[in-house]
Amino acid sequence: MKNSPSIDEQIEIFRKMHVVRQLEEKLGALHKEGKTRGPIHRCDGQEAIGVAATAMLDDTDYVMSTHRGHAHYIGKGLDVYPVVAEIFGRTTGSCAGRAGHMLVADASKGMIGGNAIVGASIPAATGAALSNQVLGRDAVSMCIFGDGAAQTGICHEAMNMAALWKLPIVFVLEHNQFGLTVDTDMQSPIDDLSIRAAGYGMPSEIVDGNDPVAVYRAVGAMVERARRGEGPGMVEAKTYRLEGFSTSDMGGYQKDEDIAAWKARDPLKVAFDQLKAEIGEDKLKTIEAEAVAEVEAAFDKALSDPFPEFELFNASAAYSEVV
Amino acid sequence: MTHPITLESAGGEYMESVVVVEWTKKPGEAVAEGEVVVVVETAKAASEIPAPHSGYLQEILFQPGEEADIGSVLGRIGDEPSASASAPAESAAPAPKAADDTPAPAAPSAAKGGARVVATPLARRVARERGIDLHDLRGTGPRGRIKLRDVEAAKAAPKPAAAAPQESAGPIRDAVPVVFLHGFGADKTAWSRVVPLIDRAVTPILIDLPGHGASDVGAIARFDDVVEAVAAELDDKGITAAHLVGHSLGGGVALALCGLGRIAVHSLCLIAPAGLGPEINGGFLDGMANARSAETLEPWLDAMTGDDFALQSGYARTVLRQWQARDTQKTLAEMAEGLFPGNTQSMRLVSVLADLAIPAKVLWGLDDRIIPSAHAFSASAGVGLHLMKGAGHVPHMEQPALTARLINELARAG
Amino acid sequence: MALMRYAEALNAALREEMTRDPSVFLFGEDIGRYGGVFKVTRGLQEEFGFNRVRDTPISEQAMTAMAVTAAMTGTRPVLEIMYADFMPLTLDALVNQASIYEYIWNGQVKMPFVLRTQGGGGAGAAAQHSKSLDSMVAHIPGIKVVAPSTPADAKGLLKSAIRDDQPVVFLEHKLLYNMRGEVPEGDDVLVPLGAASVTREGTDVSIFATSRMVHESLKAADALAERGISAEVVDLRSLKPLDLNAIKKSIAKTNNAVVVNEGWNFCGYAAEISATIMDFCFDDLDAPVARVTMPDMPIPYSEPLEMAVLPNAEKIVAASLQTLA
Repeated sequence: MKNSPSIDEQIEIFRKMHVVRQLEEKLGALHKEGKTRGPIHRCDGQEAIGVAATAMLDDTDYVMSTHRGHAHYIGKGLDVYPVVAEIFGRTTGSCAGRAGHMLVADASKGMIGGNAIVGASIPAATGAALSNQVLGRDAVSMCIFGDGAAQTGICHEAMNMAALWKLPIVFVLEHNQFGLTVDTDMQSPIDDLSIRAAGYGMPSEIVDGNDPVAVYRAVGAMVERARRGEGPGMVEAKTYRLEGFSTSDMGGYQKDEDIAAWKARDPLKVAFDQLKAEIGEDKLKTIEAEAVAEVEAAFDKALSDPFPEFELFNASAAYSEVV
Repeated sequence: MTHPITLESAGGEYMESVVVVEWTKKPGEAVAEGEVVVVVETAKAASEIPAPHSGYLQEILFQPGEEADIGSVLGRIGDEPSASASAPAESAAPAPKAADDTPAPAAPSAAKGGARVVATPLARRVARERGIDLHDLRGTGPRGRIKLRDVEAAKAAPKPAAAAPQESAGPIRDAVPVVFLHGFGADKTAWSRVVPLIDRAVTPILIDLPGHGASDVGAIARFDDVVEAVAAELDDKGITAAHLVGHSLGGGVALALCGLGRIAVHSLCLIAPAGLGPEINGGFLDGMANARSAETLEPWLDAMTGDDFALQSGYARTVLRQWQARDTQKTLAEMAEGLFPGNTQSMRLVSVLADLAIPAKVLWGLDDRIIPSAHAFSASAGVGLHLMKGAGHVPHMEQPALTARLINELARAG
Repeated sequence: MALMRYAEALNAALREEMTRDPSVFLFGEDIGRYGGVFKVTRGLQEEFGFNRVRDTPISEQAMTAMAVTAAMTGTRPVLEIMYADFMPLTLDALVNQASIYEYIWNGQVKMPFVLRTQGGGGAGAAAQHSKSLDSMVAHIPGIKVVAPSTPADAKGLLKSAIRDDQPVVFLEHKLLYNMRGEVPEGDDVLVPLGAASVTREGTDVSIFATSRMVHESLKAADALAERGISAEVVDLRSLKPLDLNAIKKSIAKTNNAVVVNEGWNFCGYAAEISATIMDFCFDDLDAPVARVTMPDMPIPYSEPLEMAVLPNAEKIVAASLQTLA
């Protein structure tokens, strides 16, 4: 069973979480200066889930993400530089500037995609799991989705089929308490959405989403199970969205005391405390500084990269050249 | 199915329109083929128009008192009584025909320059290709629309007499158009100041010389071939007779066309024409062909005008941009090389001018810096000479009112 | 050549492609044990097993979204949506998912799936089971749309659709499943996507038709011939990509066009063909393009009412005569 992270894995999770946090903070700062384009959905405070839930996956495993996917991208192995370049619409971006921050993909890493139609990633991941099963591959598929997406009809259709056919898929519910501005208790009559898993005959577990080790263990167990062909599982990771829906969010609906309480349990602090006895605070501070430097360098490089040239996309031409 | 009530001709007399006197039927009433349905007034008398088809009067498109072009659809007869006989029969106020949401479809004959011709795209294309004027045709398609078959039929029918040169050049309308030929490096837009001042009775036809403007003929380096190409284009347009106006190189072409005899030239207006002497400003030719920036082109364009007239600022930039879009300058260089080798005019047309037996004028700006105005004096005594003080090489741009007046005089005389 | 029904030809295409390529699999409602409500998948689950021929719950939205990612991750799914009327349920997957990824991910993925469905009226299936929504799917960039009218095309086009690397919506017609026709034999006899077929040559008017309307147009051409009018019938077959050359060629010959499609008139597929003709053949037209389509209203149930709304040979004759007036 590979359901606890090794120290090296834990260090890597710690490092990636800092990369993501630095990425979010830089984006927030540049947004304030008017230097970003379009809305950006930050995941500050949710880094433990995206990074730790994907830490045990291989490049051949698939992850389908959301519109708030920066931690998922970095967790699944994308370098921060092509992600930043994509966010700034540069030709060096992971999708050459065509996708933008909500729809980043790197198929070579098994990250097929951010998805900004809330709920759409659930059947998407299920379809990739179906593909794995049809072809007899031992790869798994992971859907990271939010409490908002859990309320869609397509969530039910997809989970039903995943469980019905015992597809190799893990549903990671990143429960950040809000669907845009509306809190979860205005969207669902139940607090723990994962109790619905029982309705599909699917195992589930609730974990502290700000604890990367807890996330890793719970998700890792489900991944192993799915890989063995025992079918899907769900992990509900409780967390909190610290920075509003997006950079265009006017705010005012999140309670100060809630924000303060969740900040006190910042996943970066939790990860630090879990590691400090083992490898020492200085070493962790060095790792943190290196992560910050890596992100700084990525921004510097990406922001001086060229924009793409427009080319009409002809593959879908309406008229044929046959005959 | 509806059947248009039209007035195809008014007994052969020359006229453009009739006035509706009265309708003998109300909309919705039955009418038999041959029964009088509407009375119109022509120059001579009232004419009774019989119903072309039995049925029910469906629509009245021209109320009593309204004027209708010959060939207009005056009304329609339907096969069935129409519930939507919208026009109240007794409507005293002459309802404007625009009340009908379908455009009054004056297909047929004679309404030249009048109501819009309704024709199918194919009919238009074929008519254009064969030089057939759609105004001369009667449409047999729905609502008088001219279809291919109508154009085909016109081809077979003998040409209407109107195409022949007019004996009595009446003041109203002259079937002979004025063809304008621009100078080297210009295009047909050079005439934009003059054309609006030309008599409305004559049709101006603006030609882009080969290698110039939107012409689809490329560079032609031999003068005779340029003349040939223009003659062919006039042929294509179905122009068999014309008043010619030519400027500079276009003047030479116009003069040469008189010598060629392919079309009947009724009058000739030459503005600073080529072909009357050897000299031409070589710097101007080179400058036109080689300028790569608005700054280097501008002085040469300025050389075209006399001191009293300045081209608009930005003109050079506009010209250059158009040239660059069409790669015109390469063509100009090639043509200049052939037409004006060693900065000498290759065409020699003095004798053609001397032989002319039609009304002709030569206009020249005394401040011309491209071709010396002294060339004007090689014109023979039968040619009117107009030396224009203060004007340079382009009097039609510099003094459009006078230029237009002189062209109009020729068109009326010719 | 073998004489086959349209449904059998589709079945043969599926069997051949599944045999040829183990990444091809089928899923849809009632397609396995029962063999599909129109028997197109008859016997395939027995032959290839549940793993490759799956009966699904009634979940069109998720099924279509799953086909998209299954296609992106190495398989060639063939999804059956039982009625074209259910395609609105598939639209997020087509509009927001399938149509975008090849471009926005800069060519990182391919999207080789086929969405088979059947539409059309005339069977008394009423307002929610009789529609032709061709234009709704043809409108989406990156989605190909095919509508065979004969058993031979059904087989050849389905094989091409399965082998294609882009999403193809494959529109069958419920009244054609029992139609018999000669079908060329051989695993590699394909009908290419993007090629129309001139079903009947003529010189006076071109009738551009799709799916079952091809057969109504042929009947109309017979009736027109009795009046001395020579109609050309062009089966567009591939609704998108559209065979523009075939359209241009036919109109250059006849100068008159009638477009026949069973979908609604307003913003319909016939409107697109009509605009295309205007774009590319304007100067060849000797009359406005005529359309014969479904009126913009729900499809009624009662037989005389349903027959009144469906385009048919009589309406095609009338439109042709009007064009030639």
